[in-house]
Amino acid sequence: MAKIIIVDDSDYLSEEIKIFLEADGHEVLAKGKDGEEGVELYKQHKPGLTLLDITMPNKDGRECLHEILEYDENARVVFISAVKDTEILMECLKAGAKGFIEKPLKFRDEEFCTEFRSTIKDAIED
Amino acid sequence: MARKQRRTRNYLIRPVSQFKISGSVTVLMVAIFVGVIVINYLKYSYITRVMSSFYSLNEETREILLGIRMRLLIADVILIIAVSLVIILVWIKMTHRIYGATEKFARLMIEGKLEIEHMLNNLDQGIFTINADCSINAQHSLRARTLFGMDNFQGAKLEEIFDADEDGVRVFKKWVELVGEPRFFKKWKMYEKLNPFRVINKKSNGLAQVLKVDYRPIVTDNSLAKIMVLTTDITEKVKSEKALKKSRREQEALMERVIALVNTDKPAVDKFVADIEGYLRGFDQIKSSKRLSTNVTQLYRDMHTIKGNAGTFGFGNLARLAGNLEELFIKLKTENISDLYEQWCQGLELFTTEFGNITDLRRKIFSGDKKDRIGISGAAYNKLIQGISSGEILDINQIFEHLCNLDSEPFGSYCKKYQRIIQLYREKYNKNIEDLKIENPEQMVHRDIMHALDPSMVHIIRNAVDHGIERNEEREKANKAAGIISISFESDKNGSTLTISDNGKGIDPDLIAKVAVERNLIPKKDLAKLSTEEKINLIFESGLTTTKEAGEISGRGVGLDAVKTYMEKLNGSVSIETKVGNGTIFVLKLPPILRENKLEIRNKYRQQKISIRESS
Repeated sequence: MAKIIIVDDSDYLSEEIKIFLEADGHEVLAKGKDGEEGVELYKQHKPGLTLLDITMPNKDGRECLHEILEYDENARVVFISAVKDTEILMECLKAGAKGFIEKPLKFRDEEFCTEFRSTIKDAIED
Repeated sequence: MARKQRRTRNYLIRPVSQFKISGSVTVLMVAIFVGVIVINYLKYSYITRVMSSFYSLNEETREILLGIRMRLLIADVILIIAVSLVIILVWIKMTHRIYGATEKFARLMIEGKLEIEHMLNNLDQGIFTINADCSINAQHSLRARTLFGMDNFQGAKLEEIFDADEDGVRVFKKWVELVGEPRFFKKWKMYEKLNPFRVINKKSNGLAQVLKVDYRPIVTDNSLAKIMVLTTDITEKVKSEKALKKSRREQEALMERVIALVNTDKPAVDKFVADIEGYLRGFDQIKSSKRLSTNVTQLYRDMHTIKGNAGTFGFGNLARLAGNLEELFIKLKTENISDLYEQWCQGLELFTTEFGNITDLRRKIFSGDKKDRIGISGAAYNKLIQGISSGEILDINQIFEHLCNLDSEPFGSYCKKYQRIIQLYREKYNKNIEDLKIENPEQMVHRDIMHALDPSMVHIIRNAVDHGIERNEEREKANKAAGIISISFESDKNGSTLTISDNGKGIDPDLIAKVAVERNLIPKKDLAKLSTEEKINLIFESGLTTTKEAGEISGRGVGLDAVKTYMEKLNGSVSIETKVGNGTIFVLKLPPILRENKLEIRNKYRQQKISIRESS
């Protein structure tokens, strides 16, 4: 089970994700609202896993990822992204992100949840 | 696939290759040959040794022995030749058989390859492969030719294949680069999702095609060698799914119309239909002149009313289309009519079609009704008959009174519609509101009066649900129980009075005044002069709404001003009493038009009776 931080500008979404992760036994250390906060929270908590949104105010997910990796090259970052952001997402994956979770988050869909769990698991064990 | 074939071929051929078999046979032959020579050598050396011990033997005996040696030698040579012949024969036979087997295998393999090709070509999927550097290979299945409309895949451009622009191809190339890394191609299913061309809308030979594209990795030595592209034509599937959806939507729309027609009482539908017909006739003029010369605000207000009524009757589709037209009117305030005219005509066309569907269905459902029939209240009729038969009703005046009331109905029976409005929107907006409270449901009301009051009632009740009754949190905070909307109807010689009250938040005169100033409905300097009552009455001004976002039920500033206009047209009035935090009471008054008519008829009847008596 991992210690996780969630960075998403939608409070509602991060809360949903938090509930889901905690139900699986993970520990959510903090939630951030923008990229800047994301980097700070990373430095503060040094989590086992960071979930990052791509489109965010102040600093977007891509910049945030680069700064986190600069600080800690072994950081495990998983993106939460809509498919329309494919190009940026692919760049982030190449840059060292460990995976992605597709938006919209369909927590009522069994298949989606299985995929979510396996992405988290793979990222942690990577 | 190609890789697997090659491997299979190698496996089949190697064990039966000529070299290996003939090599072993040669070794065997040489071994036997050497064996025979060694044995012979040993044999001859022994014989010679024996012979030499017999050297003392006589010439005759020596010759005999020599003869034996010669014969032995001949026999040995014959033996060697025979063994060699046998070995050669066996060898020839074996190799022949092996050659046959090899040929058979080769034939089988070619057949198998053809079969696989045949299968691939007849598959519903068009197959070709892309290299890791995004170049396309020559090999492809026949189906791929027809799907992509090209004969030569070698060196084909991705733009051409996917019918895409540069941006699309750039993303695709990025994707190929991404999945080229082991950590990504190992989770193919996950990262295949990022491919931009999983469904292609392609135009080939003038036909619109929808192609579903799947990608499979071909991995050699832990690196991505090729990507197999499997394409399926799903045009028909998409088409039939669309058709199915369309027919389902139509079924639902039909169901909705039927339910709405059956649930609404016929006179109300009749009036609704007549209103729309009138409205549409007005529009024919605009269409012929291609100019909106009529008062736009009035047209907008009428469309708003149509939308509201359609919604409350349950004609959802019509309400939606009316809403679209209403939106266009809102745009008219800022945009030029000529830009919107086409849009308007389209919107109106759709609206008219849907309206036609409703009137057609109405004719089918109510086909038994004729124009020369009128509906009378069963309760009123039974009361009259029972009264006469039991002797309770004796006087001709009493009978007349009852006759005049035959087309009246108890007030409560008209109110189902208003109850439905409340039901519909309290669920939608999650407000805690009790069922409509009807103070005097037994009171008889003539349907003409009720129909005259109906549009205003709808507006006021919708307003009460939307603006009047607070949201649950607000009510809880103010320590208030469930919202109650109640109505009562009274009728006397001075006319009819309808009262609608709610226990909501009331109307804040200062808020109304503030909004009115913001909307330029009154000049700011006049604000101080206004009394509280005058401020509240600003709510009847056109273009005033206090909710920030216009809701589906009411809002947009249309509603209460429409009520006022409408009541004034009927020579009636609307007034309002409100207290902040306690609620609002609307009072609608109608002059005694209908009653006067009846009194006139009665007086006429009496006069005739008197004149008949006098003349007899």
